[in-house]
Amino acid sequence: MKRCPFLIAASAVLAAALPASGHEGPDHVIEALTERIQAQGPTAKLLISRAYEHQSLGNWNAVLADFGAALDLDSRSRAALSGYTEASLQLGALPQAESMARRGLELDEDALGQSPFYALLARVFAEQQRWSDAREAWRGALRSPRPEIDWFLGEAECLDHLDRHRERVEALLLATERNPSVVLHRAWIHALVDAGDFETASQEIENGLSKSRWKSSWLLLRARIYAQRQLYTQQWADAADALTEIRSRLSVEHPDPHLVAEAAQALAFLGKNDEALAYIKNARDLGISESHLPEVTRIIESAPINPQGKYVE
Amino acid sequence: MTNLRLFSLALALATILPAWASAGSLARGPYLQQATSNSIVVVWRTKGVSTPVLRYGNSPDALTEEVSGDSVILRVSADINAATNIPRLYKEPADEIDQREADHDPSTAANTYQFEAQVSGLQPDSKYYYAIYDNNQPLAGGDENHYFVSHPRIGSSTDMRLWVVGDSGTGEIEQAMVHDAMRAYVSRTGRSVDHYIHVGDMAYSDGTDREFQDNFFAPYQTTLRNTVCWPAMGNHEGHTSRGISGIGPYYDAYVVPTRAEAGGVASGTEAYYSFDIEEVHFTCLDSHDLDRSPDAAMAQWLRADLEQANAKWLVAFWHHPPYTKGSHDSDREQQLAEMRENFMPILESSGVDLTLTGHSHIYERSMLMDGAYDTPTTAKGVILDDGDGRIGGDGAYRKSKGLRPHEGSVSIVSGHGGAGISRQGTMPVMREIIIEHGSVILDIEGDTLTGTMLNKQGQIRDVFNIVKRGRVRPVRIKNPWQPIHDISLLTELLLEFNDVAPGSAPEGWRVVSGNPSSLAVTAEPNGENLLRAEANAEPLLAQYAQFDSSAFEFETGIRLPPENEKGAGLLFGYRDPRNFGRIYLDPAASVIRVSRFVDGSENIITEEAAQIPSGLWLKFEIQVTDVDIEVQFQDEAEQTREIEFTIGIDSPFPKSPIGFYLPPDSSAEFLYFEFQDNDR
Repeated sequence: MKRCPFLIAASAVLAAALPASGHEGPDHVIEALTERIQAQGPTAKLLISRAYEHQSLGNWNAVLADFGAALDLDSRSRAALSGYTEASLQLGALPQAESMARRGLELDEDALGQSPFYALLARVFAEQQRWSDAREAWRGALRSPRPEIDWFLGEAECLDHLDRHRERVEALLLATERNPSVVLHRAWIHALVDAGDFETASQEIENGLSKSRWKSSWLLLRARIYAQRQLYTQQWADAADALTEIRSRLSVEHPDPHLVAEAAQALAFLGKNDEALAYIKNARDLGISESHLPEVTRIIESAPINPQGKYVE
Repeated sequence: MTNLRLFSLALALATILPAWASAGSLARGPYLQQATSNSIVVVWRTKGVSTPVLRYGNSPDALTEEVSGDSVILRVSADINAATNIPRLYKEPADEIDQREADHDPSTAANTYQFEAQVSGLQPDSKYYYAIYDNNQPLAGGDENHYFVSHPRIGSSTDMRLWVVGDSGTGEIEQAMVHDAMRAYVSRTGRSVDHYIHVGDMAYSDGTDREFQDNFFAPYQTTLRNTVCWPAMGNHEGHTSRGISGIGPYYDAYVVPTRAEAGGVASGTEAYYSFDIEEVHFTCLDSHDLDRSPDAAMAQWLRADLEQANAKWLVAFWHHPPYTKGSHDSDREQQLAEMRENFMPILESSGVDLTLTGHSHIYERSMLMDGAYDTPTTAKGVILDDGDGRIGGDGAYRKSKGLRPHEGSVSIVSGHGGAGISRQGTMPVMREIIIEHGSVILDIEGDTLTGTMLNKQGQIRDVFNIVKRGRVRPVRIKNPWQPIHDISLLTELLLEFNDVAPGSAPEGWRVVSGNPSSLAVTAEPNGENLLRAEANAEPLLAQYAQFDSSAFEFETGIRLPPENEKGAGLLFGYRDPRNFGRIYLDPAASVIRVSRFVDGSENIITEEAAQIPSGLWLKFEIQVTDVDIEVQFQDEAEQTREIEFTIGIDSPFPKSPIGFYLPPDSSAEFLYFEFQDNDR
């Protein structure tokens, strides 16, 4: 929005009434906060508030500037430190993000206070594919009495990259004891498959299949077990059933990227490699991150030649 | 609100009950939470210690069942000297105290005890009366007004009424009127509200514990004592509560499922959750402060939840709307765009029927649509039924029986529950856009859903239906109906001139007195365009037709050429060239003058001393209400003293277009005009 290139002090009433007023879109809030900063002088609180509004618009450079200015005024502000680290991460300034996360860790000695900064540090390391460092940082975060579900998943992802699947199974089992989230339970089942504990995994998969209306994710998981057991007929059957269901849910014009990724996996299991790669590219273009894409290439490379020729739907 | 809080109440109270303990007084509630077909939670607070007892039964005179002891979860404010295993209510972290106003402590008041009585073993679909006690001392209930109704069994035939409200927690008259309108409606239609969904922003402005009490629990108590409120956290609650940790006044206030206690699958967090009632599956998301990426835990949970959902209806709710042009813009704001781009595909591929949101202070209701994930949102290729969705009108929106992917959903923004309302654009997928305070009643009966928007006066302003029957094959409409982008309907408008060819006259302006060809757009050396106005021997009174209001905020960037010593003014309350209101920058007299012209005579309301420089850009802002006028003024370079004053007026100015005034033989330039209509 173009504005006069200057600002005017707002009344205290305007600033105080801002959040409940009718014009509380981020542009308005930024404008009012800017006016208040001009009138009263900057404070860490005001700058942090404005940074959050910039964040809601995805203006990460402005976010970084405001959190930076807030830190100039209050070098121990946790909100500013974590916000600055997040903005640095978003902007790809990883060394800067690491440095700020470490500053945050020095603020507190207790696990509750340190855990968000450990989580940020872990994300920095994960971006750099420093999986061992990231895993250690996630462990720091998980010392919190109230860890976030994503933090457990972060640690598991590191162990996956490190091919330490038994540890991953154990870590996720502990996670499920601390938090009942179905997401952690599902991650644990995936880890069981990767660790080769097919028996336990199969029981969980059958249980999941019996409860689910949509079955494709369970069928693909079972297909992975069949693939590793070289039970190819069953693998193709599950992949075909999964693909049929996925296609019934895929809107051609507007696909759900996760379903596109699942379709790629099913096609790879069926030996339809070119189609699988096209779907995986589509899923990537639609925003699925690399670490969450099924390892289609690996499936393609390891898949046996279908003795009956190409799979026919 | 988690199992961590479970402990022996008797033991807990033994550790904190002093010998001199006196009866606590009721400080909040009682209110209902987490109902199922055989259980419910009754919550209340006392100021001061008490021994909590809940009694319930089939009539107010026969409260034969009792919940006490271990079946009541206790939480206490941080000041209370209690065992460490007793969960504490919210206390502001020490390092945040310095960052806020002294009188705005978000913490729970001292000496507060919260009790959550876990009632189990109920008969499905049964009405129970209840009362709460401090030991044997009645605190509330035991009358016809205090009752709860257990849910019918999951899967039983659907027959429910829900109340949906958002952005309501101001504690002001509009909130009360919206609530009263709902209660009057259910009274006259003979059907009470079974369930209540609040889509966030229930405790302005910061979601403090005190604001929860004053702006949510107190105003809605007559509903909350009989009806479970299923909440979604808004950004204002997010000022003090954190979805990541599940800490804060919001999380203190509510008891929602984390372990699939009411259906769905376990979320492990109160930030997002699901539940089933009859044949309807409800899913609540946290759009505010959790990771909204498609791979994060919340999206993974949603997929797992919807994989298992085997209902006939699917309703999802959260705070930040995927489609809006009210006080917020879903094409520009990240949280809104992410909910659209990352969560709508999951929901629609699972057959969602209805999404309910708030945040944007407006009522917007879409056509039947599917796949509108692009940014900016367009209607092209995503509308499955562009009618009004009304039985008796264009016909109900039709879907197949059960949950089938991509057969269309209706999106409702219900952010008009009490906070100031506004509209800054036109969302092309919307069928109804209404700038009035109100709320939504949803009636779901068998295969038919009826949505009704009630305004704060209790008038029905929109009705739509979804019928799910047989097999329907949706067809995307190539050129669907679209709402007219009529800027006269907007409540916020920024007018600039960069899209107007230099030398031409700007559209929408009307010269009501003076030379009609006196307005022209010119180009600045820096490439920006501005509006130049020039008066000849007569005063020039020009209005912009769309700036039409009696209560408004109006701002402009104005520059008086060096030769202009006569000044310029803003024009409002216009009836004719002899009767209007004017706020005038008078460089010769060095004043800002507020006047009411009556039959050509100027009645000066006030004058404030002000230096009015020429050749500089000046920011000139006025706010006019029925009772006063506020003026703010300063030059670009801040070379002059900032002027700010408010003056009362003895009678309101009439509603009229707003514009500017130039005295004879003068000129002025305008960089922009910004208008906000506060009439509504």
